[in-house]
Formats: sequence, structure tokens, C-alpha cells
Amino acid sequence: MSAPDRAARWTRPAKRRAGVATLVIGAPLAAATALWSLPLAIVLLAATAVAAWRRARRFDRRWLVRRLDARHAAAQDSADLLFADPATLGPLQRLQLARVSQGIAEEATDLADPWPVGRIAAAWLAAGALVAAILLWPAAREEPLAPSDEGVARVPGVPALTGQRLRVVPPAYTGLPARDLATLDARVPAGSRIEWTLAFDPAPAAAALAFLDGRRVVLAPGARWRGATTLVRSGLYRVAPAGAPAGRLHRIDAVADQPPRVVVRAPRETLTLATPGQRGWTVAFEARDDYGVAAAARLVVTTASGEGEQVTFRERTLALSGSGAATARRFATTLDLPAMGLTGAGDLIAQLVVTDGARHVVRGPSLILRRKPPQSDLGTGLDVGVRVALPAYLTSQRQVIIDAQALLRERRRLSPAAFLARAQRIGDDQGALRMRYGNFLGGETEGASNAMPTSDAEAPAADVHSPDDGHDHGPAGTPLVGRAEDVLGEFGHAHDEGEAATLFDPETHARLTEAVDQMWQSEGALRGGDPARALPFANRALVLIKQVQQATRVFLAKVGSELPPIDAARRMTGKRDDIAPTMLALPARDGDEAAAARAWAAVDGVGRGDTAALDRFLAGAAVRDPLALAAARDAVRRDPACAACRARLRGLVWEALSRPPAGAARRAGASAAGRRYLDAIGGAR
Amino acid sequence: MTAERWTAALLALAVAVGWIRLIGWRRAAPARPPAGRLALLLTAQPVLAVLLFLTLYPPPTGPATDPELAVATRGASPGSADIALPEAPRGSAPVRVPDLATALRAHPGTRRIRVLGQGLEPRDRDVARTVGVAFVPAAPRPGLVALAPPARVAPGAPFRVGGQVAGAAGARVELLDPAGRVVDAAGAAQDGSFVLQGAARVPGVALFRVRLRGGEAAPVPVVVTASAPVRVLYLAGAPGPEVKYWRRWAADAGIAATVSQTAGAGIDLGEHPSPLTAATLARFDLVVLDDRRWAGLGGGERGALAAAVRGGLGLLLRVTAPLPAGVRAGWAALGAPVGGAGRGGKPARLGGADVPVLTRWDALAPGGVTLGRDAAGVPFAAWRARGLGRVGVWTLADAAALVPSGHGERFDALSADAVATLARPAASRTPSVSDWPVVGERTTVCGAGPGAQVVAPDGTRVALLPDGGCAGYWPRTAGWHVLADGSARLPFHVTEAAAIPGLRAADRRAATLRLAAMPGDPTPAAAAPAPIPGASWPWLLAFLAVAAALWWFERRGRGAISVEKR
Repeated sequence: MSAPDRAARWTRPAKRRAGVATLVIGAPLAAATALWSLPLAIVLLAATAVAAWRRARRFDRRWLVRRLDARHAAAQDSADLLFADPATLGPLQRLQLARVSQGIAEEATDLADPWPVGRIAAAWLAAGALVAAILLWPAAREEPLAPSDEGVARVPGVPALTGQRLRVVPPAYTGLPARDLATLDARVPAGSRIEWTLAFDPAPAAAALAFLDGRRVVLAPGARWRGATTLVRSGLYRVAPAGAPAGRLHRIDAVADQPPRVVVRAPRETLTLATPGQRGWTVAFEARDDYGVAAAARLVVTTASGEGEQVTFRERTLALSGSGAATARRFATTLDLPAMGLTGAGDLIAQLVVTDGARHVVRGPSLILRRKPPQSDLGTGLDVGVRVALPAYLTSQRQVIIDAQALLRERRRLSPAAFLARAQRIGDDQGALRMRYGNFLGGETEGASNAMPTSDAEAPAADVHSPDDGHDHGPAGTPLVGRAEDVLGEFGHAHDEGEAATLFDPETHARLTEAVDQMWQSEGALRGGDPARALPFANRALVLIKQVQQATRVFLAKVGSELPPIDAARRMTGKRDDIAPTMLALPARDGDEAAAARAWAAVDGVGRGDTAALDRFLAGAAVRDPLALAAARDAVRRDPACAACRARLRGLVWEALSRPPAGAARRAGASAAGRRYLDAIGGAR
Repeated sequence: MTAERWTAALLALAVAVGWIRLIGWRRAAPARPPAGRLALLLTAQPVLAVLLFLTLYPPPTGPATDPELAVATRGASPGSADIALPEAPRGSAPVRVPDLATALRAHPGTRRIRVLGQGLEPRDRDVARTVGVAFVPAAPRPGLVALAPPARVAPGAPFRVGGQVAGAAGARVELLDPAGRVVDAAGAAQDGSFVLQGAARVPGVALFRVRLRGGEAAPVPVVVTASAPVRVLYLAGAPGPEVKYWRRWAADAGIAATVSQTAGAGIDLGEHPSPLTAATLARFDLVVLDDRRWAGLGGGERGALAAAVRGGLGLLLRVTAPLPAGVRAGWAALGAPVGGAGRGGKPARLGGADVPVLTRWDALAPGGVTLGRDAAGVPFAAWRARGLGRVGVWTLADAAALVPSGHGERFDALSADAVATLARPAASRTPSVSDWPVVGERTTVCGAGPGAQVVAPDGTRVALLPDGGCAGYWPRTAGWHVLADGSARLPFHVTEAAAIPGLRAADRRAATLRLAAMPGDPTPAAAAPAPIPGASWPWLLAFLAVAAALWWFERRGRGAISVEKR
């Protein structure tokens, strides 16, 4: 018995068993998949066969030697000798071979792995489960499409629409579910995603949805052709498979989201007068929307406190959360009047700001709670006149100059640091004043106070304020003065740049601008610790301000009739000669009846009109339903002989026509006999 | 009779020629035939001639015995008539004739026809005038029986459609615009009459419809044409809203307006011819004048105004205050329907609650043609014809209040109505087309010039051949036709007869009633009716038989002669 033969005695059964076991494991799975996909099953089967072969190959002589050595002590770790070429063995090896071969031959009968029963059973169970799953799996059947009617005769060989489905996915904020429609016409919320699933028979080379306004949605080919778009505006379209006649027009209306409507539920009146001692004020609103109002809303509360010219405004924003259904939310709160700053006389204005899903921000009506001031002691109607307007809390320009001159005088006695500090303090004053004037020119506020630009004239030259100088400065931090005169922001055209502010006449504006420039230079020098250099600028600024003060005439541009100047020489004299007996010409009426008449002539049924004029007219026509008009126009364009289409277009164009002012037609003249008759009866009288 | 005499003479000549030939033959014959034979042949010639003559002119059978003929027309009950016209229902009479003229020829001696059914078609009406007509109309079919579409309308102008429904008093009648929307609705009055109001838009044609609620509908063709602007001289005694808004309307409506308003102390705003003379007034079609301005006119100007009105000028006299007796007398002398004793203004409501209440001066005299009335039916403006012109009186003091209150269209309509009614008539007469042209029936077009054509909807052109000023046209298709007369284009609408059955039935009924009401003076031809020609076939048969026998006899004789020759 040669060595290979001896080896084969053990390896062959092992190989066979391993291969068969692999096949027995893989084959049922492959067979099961055949139910689902035959090519996959063949591939799996081939893979199983390859795996079986590869597995069988592993059972070679090396495996046999290791297995004999491992399993049988009789081999005495010399199993390799069994299969070596005897000619290469030494005498000792031959002796060992003789020792072990006998024992091995007796002991080792079956070296193959046992049948992997567990795995086989698992494989068969898995195959059975797979078969069951394939057979019992709910088929992912596609919903059948709705039959379509495109209004065109079916011609064999010409692609025609046979099935249709329209899926509408409304925007998320609407909260509406997606829905499938059997028709190609729909009314959907604006912003909805529209998905078409269409079937053609026979399949066309290409297909698209052609909108009348030029939009196109190309359909992806397949057993079912699909296309999708997000609908922003309404449109008319037709399904256009390549090589097929045009079918019916379909219409999709985009229903625009409506902004919320805010209704006041409480109080009843817009203007409520506060009762004495009232501390709280309840306001309730209801906001309605087509899809839903955001639960969070803002209540903007503006407090106008103070009297006369010393009214301050403060705006607060409170967050409210609504209750009730999303389409009709109710917002209510009770405002704490002292907390809102309404302690004395003044107004409290509350306004609800709501948003909806489409990001419409709507401000509701303003509700006003008014607390009247106590009756004036004088009761003479002069209370406005005697009311004290507090001076601006600013250093005047003159004061800046005085301070700077004083600083220069004291220069020798001061340390350089103290000198610089004082110079900078004066520079701060100068800066505040500059910003105040800049504010009036329409510039940024920069936190400056609100004093009249010309109030420095009233300020005495040596009026240096201190907290204990014997008169009241008003509550600190609450600028009581000047806000009422903040007329630029309120009435003027305060554009972004001060140059365009129209509060002042150009000359005053230029002077004021120059003054601010001078202040800027002065401020820069003061902050740099050089009052001597600042003084010329400060003086120049003072001169300019004085000029402005004397010349200031604030005016606002008005739009209206420009009357001719009054002739003072003639006025009140009673002379009327040379008065031109003319009446002003009437401005022409706008409205192009000729274009409308040309458009109407194209459809009114007499002869053939100018269709280009009709199209021009329809492009600019303001009608209730432009899509219907476009559809009717398209129908007539496609089939000029269709009397019903023409009649429909005629009706829609008639609706688009506006009625010109009533004209007067001449009555028909009398016939010769009639004239004789009328002459006769007219002459007899 | 001439033809008969000529025929008789020819036949006599033929008989004479026959005789001469027979006698000549006999003389030339070698063997003399028997004399009896010759006598027979000679006798046969006149007999044949007489038979031939009688074939051509069979002897009359004598006049018809029944002078009245019962004629079945559309809608006749079955089996009641002698003859049936084509429109009569099947089985209404044993004999069917293509028209009434054929029936009268077939029944000479008919003096009267008794018309059964709805009445005679236009085709038979001329013939029916030659006989007496008896007609007892059935009750008119319920539905629209009369409809008067507006004449030519100016752009934007309101128009009225009048009509009548039968058998449905109080029925709701609606006017539908070309878009199919209801623009006006009214209930029919006790007698079935109704008036609906619509508004024209741009120049062109428009087909409105009148619909009986729950019933039939009929088309209302409206032709909107812009005519030459009316020239108006507006003389106001003072500036005011009336002048202002009237001027605005006139400018918008394309009126050639000359406005003048006095501002006192001799100041006259605007330009106007002064003084008014016949020459200056000839440049205008309408003069609008108020009482203050009238008071300032001189006697010569008033005379020129009166003369101009007689010549065709329109004159609208506006009452702005209680009329002094002098002004009233002056206006009455002009022919204006002015009167009334009331001195104060009275309220005039033109519409619902949102229309402001206007003031009406009580200055109208009865007897004028009403130009406008308020919602309660009280007239506030009226006119009277004076020569070729018209003089109107306008008593609304503050119609301009309509404009700022949002009813400008109403003010415009009032102004347009007044101007259109009173202004000088158009100088040239436009051709006219008969009412309700119907497919397949004669349409009369009158007043068209030479070379006028009718263009059908399908583009075919038919030249008209006027005869005595009018031409006939037989439309082939329904729809808008255009009468092209020179450069003028007059559209008219042709309707399918089935679309207006009620109007057609009413027209037949009215026309037949008119025929029946005509005094019975049958024409002489009908008084001495032509005798009925007898049947000619027996004479033809006799002629053929005698001629054949004679031919056989002569043939046989000739054979005998030839035998004898041998």
C-alpha cells in the first residue's frame, strides 16, 4: 500500500462528507431563493458548489497528519512517516514507521468530521422559513392607477395615457395628510409637492407635463412614468407623451395661504378709559387661520407715560401662549399696569402679533387703555402754557468753550495727567452735544440724550449743573425732555443718511452739518488733551449754532395743489379785468378701450379678428379666473372651428371687458316723409 | 285665347291641305279608287283636327262649387282642413300643397280661405290678400311672444330690452350677458310685458339673451357702434357740481362739449359763442341751458334758439330753482313740457337705500314724452318734439350727488340718455334690416346703396339687388352677418327659426289677423274665376284611336292600289 493510497483511505471519506455537508447546507437555501429569483438561486447554487469543493480541498495529507497525531496516541506524533516516501526514511524512521503503522491501521478507521447535523437542520429550517416568507410575504403590489380620459381618440401605435394618479403632499405646516387623487385636476395648498404617476400604452420615447405658461415637468420613464414638482402658483398643463396628439388641459389650483386674522374679544372698545385705582387690564384676542396659528404670540405693549410734552414711550414685548384649536387660538392676559409703567396719566397700547405656519406675521388691532391726567388746578386752558419744560441735561457749546478756556488758564497748576483727564471730560461733553445734533440731522443716536438742538441759547453761560444746585433735574435716567420734539423720526423723512433728512431747509441743514463737523474736530482735540487746538473749532461751532437758531424754520414737504401766488395789488379791489375765461383742461381718462374693442372683435363672432390683439389684451386683463381664460384661449387656438370653445372664450373675454363711460349715440334721422310730418306739426304751433 | 285661335287656324289649314292632297292624289291615280273611300278619308281629316284641338284645349268642366277652402297651417288639428300647407302637421288634411298659391290655382273659384292653426307663413301672405281670410286664432302658446332688441347702442351706454310673455303673468324674466351672467331680472307685468336693462361695453356686437325663468330663452342681438361725437353747448348759470361732473362725463364719453359757466359780474368761465345766432347754433347738436342762463338771454338769442330747435337742434332746459312765471312762459313758448305749480323741491329716489335722495323741482307739465323717472315712477324729465328738434326739461337739481356717493355710472347713464334722446338726429340714414331675420326666409334690407353686399359668417358674399329701395336676402346660416354698404358695416344677427318659436308664432298670428281684418275686396280675377280645364286624356285617346284606324285604312287602300296596279 503506497503512501498516497494510504492517505486517501482517510481523506476521501472526509472530503466527501465535508462537500456533501456543505451542499446539503447551501442547496436548500439556494433552492428556496429560486422561488423569488432564479438567477440568484443559480448563483447561490454555484457558490455553494464552489464552497463545497473548497471545503473538500482542505482535507489533504497535512490535515490527515495533524488529525492522526491529534486523535491517536498510537501515532506517537509520527503520522507523517506513514505517508512519506519510504526511500527517504532513515533506519530509525523506518523502525518507528513500522511501530506506528500497525497501531494506526487498527485504530484509525474513521477520521472524518461528523455530519454537522445542527447546521444542516438549521439550514433546512432557514430554507423552509425562507420559502414560507417568500410565499407569504405580502406582495408590494402597486396600487392600480385610475383610468384616464384625455379626450383624444385612441390610435393604435400612438402613445396614449392609460392610467393616472396624482399624489399631493401639502407643506408640513398645514398639517394636512398626503392624498392620492384619481384625477389630474386638483386644488392644493400653495407650496404642495405634486407627484404624478402615469402609465402610457404604448410607451412613448419621452414624456413631459407641459404647462401653458411654459413650465415643463419631465417624466422619468418606466413602467409607470413619474414626475414631481413643487407647486407655487396655479397652472394649466397637459400630459404630452412624445409623438401623441395634445390631450385635455388639466388644472391645478394653488390655494394661497391666508394670513391669520386677529379679532379682539376683550375689551369691547378700542379705547378704554382706566377707572380710578385700576391696576390690571385684561385683553383677549382670537386669531384665526386656515391652517393654524402658532401657539406662541407676542403682545407688544407700549406705555406712553407723562403729560404734555414730557411723554415717554416704552415698548415691551410679552410672550403669550394661546389656547384652543390651532385654527382659532385664543390669547388672553391681564396686564399689570404699575409693572408696565403706567402709574400716572398716560396710555397703554397693546397689540397682538401672531404668526402662522406660512410665516405670515400679522399685527392685530391696537387696544388703548387711557388714564386721564388729574384736572389742572388752574382750569384756564393754560395748563399747556405753564407746564415747565425741563432743560436738556447737556453741557452747552458755550459751556464747552468756557470750560476749555478755564482749563487752559489752569494749565500750569495742573499735572499733565489731571489736565488730560479734565480735557477728556470736556471732550465727553462736547461729544454728547455733537451726538445730539447729529441725532437731529438723522444720524445714529449713540445713546445721547434728547435735547432741543437750540436749547443751549437758553442755558446761561455759567450755568454749571450739580446735583445740589437748587433746582430739580428730573428723574435720572428717564429722559423727559425733548422726546416730544423728536419730530424727525416721527414726521420727517429720516433716511438712513442724515443728508437726505428733509426736516430742515437745505441751508440750515448745511449749517448744522458744518457745526457738527466743527464739534467733531473740537471733540477730537479735547480728547487728545489739546484744548487750545479745540477752541477755534468750538467757537466756530457756536457761531454756526447761533445762526441755525436764528434761522431755524422747520418745515415738512407737502404734496398737494400748488396755488398761484396771490396778486396783492389786485386783492380786495373788486377789479376783474384780465381774468382769463378758461377752465382747466380735464386730465384724460386712463383706459384703453380701443385695445379692448380689438380684442373683443377677435371673438365676437363677426368675421375674423386680430388674435394678436386678443392675446395682448388677455395678457394684461384683470380677471377673476385667469386660468379659465387661458384654457379657453388655448382651446380656440387649437381648434379655431370649435363653436362651443369660441362661445366660452367670448363669455370670458366679455367678463374681462370693463364698461366704458356711457356714450351717447345719435338717434336715427327721420325719413323724408317723417321730416315733412315733423315740419308740418312743428310749424303749426 | 290667341293661342287657341292660332292652333285652330293651323289645324284648319292642315285639314284644307289634306283635302287638296287627297283630291290631287285621286286625280293622278291610274285606277280610280272607289268614291266611298275618298269620302271617308275626306271626312276623317276634320274629325282628327277637332280631336287634336280638344286634346290641347279640353273643354272646361264648369266653375267650382265651394267658394271656401279650409287651409291647415302649422299647429292645425288633424283632419279638419281641405288642404295642408307644408308646415301643417301630418294628417291634418287629405291634400298637401307646396304653398297657398298652388292651392288656390287648384281650387279656382275659391273666395275665402279659412286658416286653421297658428297662421300663414310670410310666403303665403301676399297670395292670401287675393281672397278673404277667416282666422280664429288659438290662445297664444305660453312663453315669449314679443321681444324688441335695442337699436344701435353707443359704447358703455345702457339699453333696454322690451318684450312680452304669454300665459305667464308675473313670470321672472332675466337678461343674460354674453358671459351667461344675469345682468337684470324683472317680473312680467299683468299683461306679460317686461323691460330689462343692460349695458353695452366696447364697440362691436354682443349676443345677450332673454330667459324666461324655467322656460325658453331667446337671443338679443346688440350692436354697439361709436358714432360721430355729439356736439353739445352747455350753458350753466353758475359753477357747480352738476357742471363739473357733466363735463367729466362728456370728456370720458367722447362728447364734443363746449361748457360755459358764469361766475358773476360778467365773468364767464369757458368759451362759448356769444351771442347765440342761427349760424352759431348750427354748429351744435344740443344746447343745455338752465333757468339762470335763460334769464340772461336776449330776445334775439331766444328767437334763434327756437328757430334752431325747429331745424333739428336739441334743447335741454335744466330747472335749478322754482321757475319764475316769465321763464316758464318762455319755455312753454319754446314747446317745452313745463308747468307745475309746486314751488318746493321734492325728493326723488333713483334706487335703493344706498343711492342718495335727490331733489326734483315740480316743474313738469303732463303731455311730454318721459325721459326719466325715479324709482317710484314719477317722471323727472320729459321732452316734446318741436319741428325736427326736441325740447326737454330736466328737473333734477342735484343729480351730481350720485357721483361722489359711488353711483357715477347712474349719473353717466342719465346724462347719456338725455343727450342721445334730444340731440340732433344723424344726417345720413343707415340701411335697415327687417326684424328677426331667420335662416331660409326672406330678409328685407332697405336703404342700402348700390353695390351693397351681405357677408355671411362663413365669409360668402352676396350682392344685393335693390328694387324700389329694398332688397331681399335669404340667409343660409345663422349667426352674425354684415351688411357692407360702401365703407359702412352694419352687423345683423340671423337666428334659427327654432330658436325663437314663440316670436315666430306670434308674428304668424298677428300677420294672419291683419289679413283677416282687411276688408274683403277680392280682386276681379277672383270674382270671375277661370274655368277649370277638363281632362284632356279621353280626347287624346280618341285622337290616337281615330288616327290609328285611319292609318290602317289608308295603308290597306294603298296596298289595294298597288295590287290593282299589277
